[in-house]
Amino acid sequence: MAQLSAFRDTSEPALLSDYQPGEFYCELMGDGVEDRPRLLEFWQRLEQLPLADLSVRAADALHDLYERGVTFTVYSDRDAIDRTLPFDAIPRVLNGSEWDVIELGVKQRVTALNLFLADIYGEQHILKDGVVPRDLVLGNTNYCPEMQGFTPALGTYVQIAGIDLVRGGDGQFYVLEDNARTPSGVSYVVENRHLMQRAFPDLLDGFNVHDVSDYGQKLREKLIETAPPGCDNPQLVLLSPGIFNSAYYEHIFLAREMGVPLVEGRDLVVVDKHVFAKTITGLQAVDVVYRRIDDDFLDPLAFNPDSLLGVPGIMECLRAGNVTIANAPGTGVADDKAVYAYMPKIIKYYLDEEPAIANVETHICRDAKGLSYTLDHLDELVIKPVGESGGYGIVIGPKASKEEIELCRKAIIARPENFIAQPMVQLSVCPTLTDEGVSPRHVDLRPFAITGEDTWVLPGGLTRVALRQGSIVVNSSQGGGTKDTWVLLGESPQASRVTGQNNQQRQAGTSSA
Amino acid sequence: MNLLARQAEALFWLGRYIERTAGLARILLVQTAFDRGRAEGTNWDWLLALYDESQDFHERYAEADSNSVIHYFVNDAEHPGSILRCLAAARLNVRSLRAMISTDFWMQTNRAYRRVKELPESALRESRLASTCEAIQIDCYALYGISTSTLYRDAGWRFFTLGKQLERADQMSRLLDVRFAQLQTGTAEGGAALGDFTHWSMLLRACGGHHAYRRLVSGPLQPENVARFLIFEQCFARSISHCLNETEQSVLELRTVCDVPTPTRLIKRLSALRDMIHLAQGDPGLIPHLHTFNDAIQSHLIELTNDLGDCYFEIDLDPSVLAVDSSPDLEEPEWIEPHLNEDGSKDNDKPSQGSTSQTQSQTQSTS
Repeated sequence: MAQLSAFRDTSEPALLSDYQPGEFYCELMGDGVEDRPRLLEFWQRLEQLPLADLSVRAADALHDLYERGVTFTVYSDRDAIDRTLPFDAIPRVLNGSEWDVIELGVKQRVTALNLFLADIYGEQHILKDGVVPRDLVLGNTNYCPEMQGFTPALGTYVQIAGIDLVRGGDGQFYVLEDNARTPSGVSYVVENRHLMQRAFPDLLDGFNVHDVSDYGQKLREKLIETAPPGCDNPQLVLLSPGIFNSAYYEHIFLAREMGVPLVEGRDLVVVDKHVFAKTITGLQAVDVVYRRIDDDFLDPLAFNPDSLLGVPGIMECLRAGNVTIANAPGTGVADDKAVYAYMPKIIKYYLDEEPAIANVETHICRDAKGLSYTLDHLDELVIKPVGESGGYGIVIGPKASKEEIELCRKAIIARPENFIAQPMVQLSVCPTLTDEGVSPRHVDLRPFAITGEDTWVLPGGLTRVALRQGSIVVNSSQGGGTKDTWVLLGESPQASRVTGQNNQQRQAGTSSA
Repeated sequence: MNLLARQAEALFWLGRYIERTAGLARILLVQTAFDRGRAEGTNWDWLLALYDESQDFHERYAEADSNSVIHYFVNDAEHPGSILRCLAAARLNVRSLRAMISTDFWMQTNRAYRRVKELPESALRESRLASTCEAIQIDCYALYGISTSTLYRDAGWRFFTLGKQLERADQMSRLLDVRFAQLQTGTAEGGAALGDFTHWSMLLRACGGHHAYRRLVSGPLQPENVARFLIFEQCFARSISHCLNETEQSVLELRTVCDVPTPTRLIKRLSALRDMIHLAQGDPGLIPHLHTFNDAIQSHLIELTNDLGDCYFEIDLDPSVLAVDSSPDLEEPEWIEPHLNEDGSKDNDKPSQGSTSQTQSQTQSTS
């Protein structure tokens, strides 16, 4: 077999011999207290691969992604519409029991988000009971008054959620951020796995890894569940802003995987409070719109009148119960960074449960206490503007210059309600191929959850990696890359013992060949 | 759900842009390879006349020599009719179609585009032009091959074919016309069109028909035979007749295979075209009037493109309309037998005197 060449030539230095995760929790080695790696079998597998070979194959794999057009646009680089997201060949591995906690925590979180949205656009009990400040919700720029008094099918506002997790120095996962608007990145979860299977079959071989390739079918199933009641054989479309959108490849991917038309705003039209698509035989009814366009641009009649991307009148169709928009407009209030701080209370309020995954401690600058703490500890904290996404505008206190700190202080004093502050989380690291060899780089994890009648979490997720040494900003718009994310079936990779035998057989086979 | 109108339009123009690229590459190849050894030197002017682009060209270039004309047609980013711009437009259309085409098609589109985008100056020298054009042509053939092997055979396939065939018919009609137009408008030497053996030989090669013609006709080249071959020969894939039959076939299949209603005006247009070809084929006086005939073909092709746009790409916003727009029965296309040396025993009518509009706009905006 071709991949035999990848197995170790004992004369070459081992891949991991120089690897030092330092003070950070390592996704491969664990906390360094135990005298054996957390994922011993996987560590042994990596050790067998010569570094030079892995780097060459990783470069080929990246070129392969570019040729296939698995690309992401970086807005600061207008000329380069096609760019690949850097891919790191060493996967991030989660074992079964870790995944159980993540799955539980994500489901709990998404359930609470949906109940919260139904409440604040309905009876507003949580505001009346004073659990969340009224003006934080109603005065939020992402609160959408057009949604008041209307409940979407099944009470599902957030069909698609991406919950950003980080693992701290204690080895525990924390929720860093909720993404309940139009989270992106799921195409990379699937494409990274396919790339892994094509380019590194020897790395995967024998491990019992959860499949991720049925995401599209699950998504379709769940979206159809949330079609307007009484809708017979619902027609689903994916609404994209078009070819210049940074996530256009993902829109293509999802439309293909679901087997539904990829439409733009100009393909849709509203007649009599119903949405139609313009086809070669005339207008055809549309029942569910998975939109990958922001609230502001969705309907020029209801929101930004200058939007050319949206569908004039679609909000009326929604309110008349004739179309489902996924995610519903106005979900941005729930994933707002200021509301995030209240999520543990929100979970407790609706579900009477403790969060299965804790929040990162958050200081809300709109509160006097939070503001004074933040201003006193600016050089220790990570300052985040609320209402922004994509990692824009974040100031990392311990790494910022004096000037940057003072600029930040002025900005906070001017508009305290625009900021939150969090302690700097000691993000876990994962062995990563770099120019200097295999080095630790910080990672986060974005699992994806889709909700119809119930919530399903894709067993995997997007592992983003900050490729610059020491950097903790993993956003793809800020130079981050991605890794394949393995969720192992069962507690430890049982299959690896068999694999070990296979390897021996293979090596025997090689020498006899 | 049926094909989106926007995607149908993108497929149609994709077919046109690929065909135009392939045609242009072949014409340049023939020009540089065969138009040699003539006393008056190599003539690059006729390429500008071919696409009615003399004026645009001379606004930016002083002289129509080989360097400037080659650059103008291959990789001039400001010339919408250059190979570079055609491939860029094709690629833009493919990009908007990626959810419904194969990854291989996308990859080959990129290869074709990048080849031209990254051409070194040396590849455009007359001495290297032939191999450059050959490579571009092969890129286009690869696109056709991938589309044939991978494109889903729904209505989209028919629109892609329509674009390809209409562009091919248009190119052939332009090629046939270029010398006659010069003659009739007094810009070429008298008698040059019919008597110029080299011209007709080159014409055959420019549309890849030299060997096909030789299979059917032996002996010295007869200009009239060549012209009739290029217009009427059913077995020749680039003859105007063949392209129009394929066009008609695609429209027919939209209804019979894809269940897409065929509006009456489209059927009328196609049967008018077929009648015109039929009359012309039986007309012994066709050749002296070839320019008029070509004018009529050109304006019919423009109208046909407009009809397709009105019928399929521009959508009536009243949803009740689609229910009543049922199509009448489309007649089976009438296959015209090839008669290369026929003297025309039936109708002696002259080809219909259509509009003389020669300005075909090929600038489809695809933003």
